[in-house]
Amino acid sequence: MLLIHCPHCGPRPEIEFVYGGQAHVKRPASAGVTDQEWADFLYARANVKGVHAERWRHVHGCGQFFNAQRDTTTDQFIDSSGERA
Amino acid sequence: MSPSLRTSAGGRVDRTRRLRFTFDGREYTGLQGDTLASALLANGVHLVGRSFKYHRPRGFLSAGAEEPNALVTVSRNAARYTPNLAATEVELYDGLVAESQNRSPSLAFDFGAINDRLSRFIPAGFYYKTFMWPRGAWHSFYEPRVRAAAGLGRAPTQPDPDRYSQRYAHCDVLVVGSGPAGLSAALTAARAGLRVILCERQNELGGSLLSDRSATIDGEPSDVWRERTLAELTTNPRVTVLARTTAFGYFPHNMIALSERITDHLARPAPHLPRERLWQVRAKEVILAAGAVERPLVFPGNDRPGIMLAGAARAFLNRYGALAGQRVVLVTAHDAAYRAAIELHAVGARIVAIADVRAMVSGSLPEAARRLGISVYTRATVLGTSGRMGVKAVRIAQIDDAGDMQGAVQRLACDLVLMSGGFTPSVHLFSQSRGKLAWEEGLRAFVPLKPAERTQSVGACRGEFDLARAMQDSAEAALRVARGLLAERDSMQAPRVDPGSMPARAERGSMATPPAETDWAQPLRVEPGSMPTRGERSSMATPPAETDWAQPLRVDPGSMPAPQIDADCVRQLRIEADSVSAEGFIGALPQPAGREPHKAFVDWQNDVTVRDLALAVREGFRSIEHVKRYTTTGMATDQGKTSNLNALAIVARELGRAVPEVGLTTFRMPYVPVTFGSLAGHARGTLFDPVRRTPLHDWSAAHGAVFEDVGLWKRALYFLQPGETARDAIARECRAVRTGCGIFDASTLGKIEVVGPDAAEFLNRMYVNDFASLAVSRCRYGILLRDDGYVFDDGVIARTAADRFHVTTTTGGAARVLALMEDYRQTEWPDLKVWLTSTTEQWAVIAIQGPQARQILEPHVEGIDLARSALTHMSIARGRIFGAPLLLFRVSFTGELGFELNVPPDHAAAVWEQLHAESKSLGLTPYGTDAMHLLRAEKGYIIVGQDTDGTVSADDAGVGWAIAKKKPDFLGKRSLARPAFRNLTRKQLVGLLTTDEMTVLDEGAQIAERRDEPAPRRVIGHVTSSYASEAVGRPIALALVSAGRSRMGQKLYVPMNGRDVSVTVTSPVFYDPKGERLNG
Repeated sequence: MLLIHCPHCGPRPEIEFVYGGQAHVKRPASAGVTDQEWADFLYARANVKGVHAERWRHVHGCGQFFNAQRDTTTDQFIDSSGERA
Repeated sequence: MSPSLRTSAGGRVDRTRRLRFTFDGREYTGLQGDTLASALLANGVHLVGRSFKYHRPRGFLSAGAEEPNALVTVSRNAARYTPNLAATEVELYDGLVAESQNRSPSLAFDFGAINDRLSRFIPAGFYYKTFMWPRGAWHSFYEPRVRAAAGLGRAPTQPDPDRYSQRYAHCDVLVVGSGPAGLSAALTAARAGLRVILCERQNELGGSLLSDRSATIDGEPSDVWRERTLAELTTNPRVTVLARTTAFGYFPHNMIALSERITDHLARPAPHLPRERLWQVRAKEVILAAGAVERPLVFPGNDRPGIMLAGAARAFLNRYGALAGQRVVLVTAHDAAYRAAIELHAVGARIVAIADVRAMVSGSLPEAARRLGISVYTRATVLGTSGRMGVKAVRIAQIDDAGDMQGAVQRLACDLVLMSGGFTPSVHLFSQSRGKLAWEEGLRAFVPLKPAERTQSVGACRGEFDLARAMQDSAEAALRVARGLLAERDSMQAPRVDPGSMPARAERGSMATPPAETDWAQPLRVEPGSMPTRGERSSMATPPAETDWAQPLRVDPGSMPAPQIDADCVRQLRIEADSVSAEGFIGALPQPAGREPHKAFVDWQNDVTVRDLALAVREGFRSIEHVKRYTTTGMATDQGKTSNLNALAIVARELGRAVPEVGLTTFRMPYVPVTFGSLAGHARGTLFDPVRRTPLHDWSAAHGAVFEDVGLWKRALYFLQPGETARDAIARECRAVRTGCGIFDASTLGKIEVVGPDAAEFLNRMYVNDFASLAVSRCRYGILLRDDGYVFDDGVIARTAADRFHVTTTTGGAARVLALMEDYRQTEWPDLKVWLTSTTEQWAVIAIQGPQARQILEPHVEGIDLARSALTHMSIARGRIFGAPLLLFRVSFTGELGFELNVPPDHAAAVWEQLHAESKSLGLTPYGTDAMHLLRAEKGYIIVGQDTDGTVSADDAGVGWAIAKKKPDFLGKRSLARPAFRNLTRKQLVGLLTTDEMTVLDEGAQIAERRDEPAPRRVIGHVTSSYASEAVGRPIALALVSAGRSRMGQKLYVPMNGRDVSVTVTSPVFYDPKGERLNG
């Protein structure tokens, strides 16, 4: 079980969180976007082997979404200095 | 008991306490401190099992958890019946009842042994090739017979009566294994003031020290040091020592699962004790001192009872005082076997010979053996063994590198053959933690290279087999860990940036650019609060011993000195022990040129031989993972403990590649089998899931309600009157709603309060409808899409104030709707001033539906004018009913005049009871969800999740009218313009009437265009809802049919029970199509 550092509540076990998928997927405004661009927004996601930027929500805690970087090969979270958090 | 097989003194058994036990119905006696294995050996019993596939007689291979053969069933009764236990791990108690497995009728005479004679016809994978015809016979004929012939013990036939407990624990350092390395590490960490958990799989701590007779530590026998160390650890309040506790799984971020066995070793367990306890330990640092497993040697006939690992015979002798045999031949590639020879010799066993695979044998142990006059053959190999129920002789020869025999074959009579191929470090947990391994050619083994977690491997599990070096290294590792943790603690006491000042948003979308990496990564830094302050909880009294929480983590007394590294921590021990060679052998022992090893077992448990592995390679398997699956080598409880490296070396040789190139199979948890009970803990039966009951549950139950599960909720399906069938009840309830009035518990409806200056704008963006224009005190039926354009949820939304909305959702959808709303609120539109609160349980909902609804309510409602013109359809009002606060909705999910009373849950039962009592004479009838479903289907109202399935658009479902097309954006709007949504063949919701006016269609049934079309039929849709409707006078159904709305009046066919039911496509509104009754 991952130990996830909620920026508001501190380190908490994974069962308190829900995964929110890839971070920084930009939702285009409905007007003026092509079918392909919209389809990419809906369905295209990275499948990273290595450091992945992703969203988590501390649903059974403060309820807030936050972003995190996790190495998908080791499950280690990375902090701003590139060190393991 | 044969006295000659039990030593007169020594070991850890209590010779004054004799225990009676039975094995396969025969009575034996053993001693307190015995395992079932040592007690049987002391009684001269070697034959304890039949092998998995060939039913070959088998004895003990080992003395520990790696035991592949001696699997037994131990039972107290039909419910407490545990199969597949390693006899080497079963602690003896008085009255223990054990039986052997996989034999019929008995161990000595087993019908299944015919398989051994047929072995050349049933090689690896034979069942993939042999049982192909006739088709279908695998399930009905072959599989049941193969399963009966092969296999392990039987499952218990009764439910498990035991309790299993679970707990979480945190520590600075978890030490796995209490051998010399583990003890040394735990001691150092404890002296540094760290909170330590030390877990040990066996009943006693000490690992190899428990069967050691020769080493000294600080000038005293190693056992003296062991006892002194344990005394220090167990009295240290920062240390938790857990015996009989196996670390079986290593999960991310240093979470280790431990299984503690509490009652299995007790003759009469106290009834309040749980059988096992599952620990989930979060450790800042892990020190793995898991030890090593001695490797068997692979030679023809190496599986007979009486052939075991050299270390196992040492353990049986030194720890249990049990002599495994009296005429001993040793086959070895490692010095450790010589120590077994010397110790067995000392208690009077005859050492017939030592056959050493190596060309050169030197070192202190071999020299000592030679001095005792023991004959040692170098460059030796084993050609075969004999003895049906136990080994009687072994044939050895000396061969040179070219495979030519030197001298004659020697047939050595014996009753015990000991083997040692060196030691395989137990890297299971390290590998589970995704640490990288490296091949160590000298050891012929993989050792830990690069950890992925904060973990250290020490002692034999990292390939350090020398006692002095192993203990020294592990103490140093513990010191490193302590210094690191103390430094971290010190650095965290310094002031730092408040994490709360970090931006909370996830910036998923509309914010222009993703922020720089530092921005969103910083919150993941370790918080200062994560280091517990010591001494905080010191006032907790010591709990009574042997309760369910019998061994709580000890609490730091406030008086404990702060952790620090002092002279005690760094003091080095003076250790003297025999040095052993760090070498060994893997693969099959060499055979004379031109001879293939026959019945040379690699995996005892799965009956995999050298020949099977060679066959797999010949048949084209190249990956070791594929070879494993094809031959089953290393599977089941073995998990590669004894078989892994030998199998690997044999496959590598067949492939002509080096061992590290072939790689290693994945180590998976659990390290040893774990009971389902301990994983389930208390979460079974009524505690498996929480149950949600409405405030009206008890009244409903007392009035004949039959309940269904909807998510976690219990909902009343219908209310049975005496003498009624369910069908009668549903028809009666529907009739009451259509002709009089019904009362319905709708409390489970999800409710979300949306509040704030931007509440209307927020809902406008979430839902397809125009909520900006909704007047206060009005409500509207809302449709919520996902961004992919498909229907996600629906429900009535009321505007209770300019900045306040009461949103209802489906019963099952409440949580996911709130989650979706929160996602968009926080990450898409963080600029909107809006707050979301779940209010599902703040309001109980009582629906009053039917032409008499107004007459029934009017006398009891205060402060609301119920007149048709005053409270119009789809409006709300506040008042009181029977004195309780009331939020009244005029809405209908039945097509009749309807009201929904929202009252605080504490008042709900009183309101319902009074309403029911006062209006019974007017025909007010409670109805359940079955009637509700039928009534709404008569009106063509959809149920999201029944008439939609995640691929249905609002237009498909016939609710496209709700979409406010002029809004610039809402969830899913852009998707509605995608080509797929404009496809004219999309399935649309329609009604179906059966031509015979009798048949009720099956929900889920397929719909075809042509009658009696030969298979494969072209399917154009399916039935989503279907009922027998009294109001319509015939069965009705809702269905999703391709281009359905263009097929009105068309005949279609629904295949059911082998015939085509003819149906006519109609509007989905079967009853009161003009909707006049709503305004009654």
